[in-house]
Amino acid sequence: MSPCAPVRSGSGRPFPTRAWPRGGLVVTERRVVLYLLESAHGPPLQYWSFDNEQLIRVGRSIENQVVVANPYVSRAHCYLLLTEQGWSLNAISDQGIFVRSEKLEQLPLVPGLVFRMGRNGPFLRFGNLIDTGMEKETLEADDPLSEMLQLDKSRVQREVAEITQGDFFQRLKTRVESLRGTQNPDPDKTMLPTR
Amino acid sequence: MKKLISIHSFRGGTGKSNITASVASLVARAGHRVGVIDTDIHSPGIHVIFRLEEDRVKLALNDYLWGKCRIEEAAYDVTSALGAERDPGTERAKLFLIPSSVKTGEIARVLREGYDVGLLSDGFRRVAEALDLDYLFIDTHPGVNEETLLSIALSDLFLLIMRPDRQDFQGTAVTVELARKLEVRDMRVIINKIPSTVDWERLRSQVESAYHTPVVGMMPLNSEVAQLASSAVFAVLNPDHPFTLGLKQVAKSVIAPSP
Repeated sequence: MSPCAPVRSGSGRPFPTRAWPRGGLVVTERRVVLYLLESAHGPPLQYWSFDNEQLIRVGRSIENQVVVANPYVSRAHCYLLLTEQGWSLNAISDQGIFVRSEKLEQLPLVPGLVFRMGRNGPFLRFGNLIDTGMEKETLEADDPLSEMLQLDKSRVQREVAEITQGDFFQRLKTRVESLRGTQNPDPDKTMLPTR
Repeated sequence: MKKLISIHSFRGGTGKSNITASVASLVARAGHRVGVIDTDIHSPGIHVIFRLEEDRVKLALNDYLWGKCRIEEAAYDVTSALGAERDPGTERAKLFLIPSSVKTGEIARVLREGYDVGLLSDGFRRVAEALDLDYLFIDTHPGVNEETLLSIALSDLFLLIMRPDRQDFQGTAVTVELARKLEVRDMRVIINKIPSTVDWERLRSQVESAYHTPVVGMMPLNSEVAQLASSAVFAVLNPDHPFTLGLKQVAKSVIAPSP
């Protein structure tokens, strides 16, 4: 787990598991995602995702799973807990959790909920798919990674062959070998004739 | 010199010069003497990021390639771009830029006549010695051409920047294969301009398994970066920005010994 930019995953329903239809990799939806937002309604700056966790600690100190480096965030600020009723958010520090300017000790988490860490602290969003308003079917049809990461391997091989079979590439290879072989080469020897 | 690093992208617009400037600055700020050569002679630009004023540039890389000067005479101290605040123990930090000429006549001459790429590779070694550099970054011209392939082949580390789109994914695969044919030992990928709708970990593993190459940095698509980046070194101005986190990972990976 590492801090990253936002992810699109999960369904908002209570953790069904589903393989992505294309792209080869299996992404399960038993996943919780926390987004650090630029502002209350701003774009995500960073995210943390967790699979199969029950307790997620949030705070400024590096012992937390979600480390938010911000002076308004306490070292141990709050934690997310999975119970039979779903995920809840629980304050540890007196700085508290704010939802629409209201200070709360504990609250149930629903996808898309934005909360603030401390009265003047950063905004986090508990999230997955529902907050983007996307239905599962739409996502499957429009999975951006499957679209963009389709490699036409035979085309790669063809283009590579076209280049490497050319005279210039063979000349280059010879030149590279001679340049690599000499630490302090005589410039006259390293400069091959220009084309 | 500890490492010669080539930075390349298959297409333009990947943020290559900005990333090069930021990573070079972060490496320098860690207490190293760093040089950057703008070999993107056809469309030079990195000098703007380092705030090297064009009238300060009396000699450029072009003059060296035409035999008019020694390469170190075309090097400019741009250490001021690293900012005033430095960590203790980093006094060795220095940053030099060898710019390409922005004069249209000079650019046209390169396009018309080409230049001897052997001279370029000589220049790398020479400037590293003359300026006592620890790291030398080569900002290459996008696409595949002889000069670029030579720079790549001679580097200790080859950093490839791509955007997560189909054309870049396909084109970068060709570059990766060519670098393998040239026996480039240490090759790593940086993914920039990642939209907020994308699953980062999945993107990383897809790229790594397609290229058999590690991804050492991932940066978000970010309008602030687009606005600020080309006028100054982004990582210096915005040390805690999420974009800078990705750049710091790249810088760390550059400084770490090669496998």
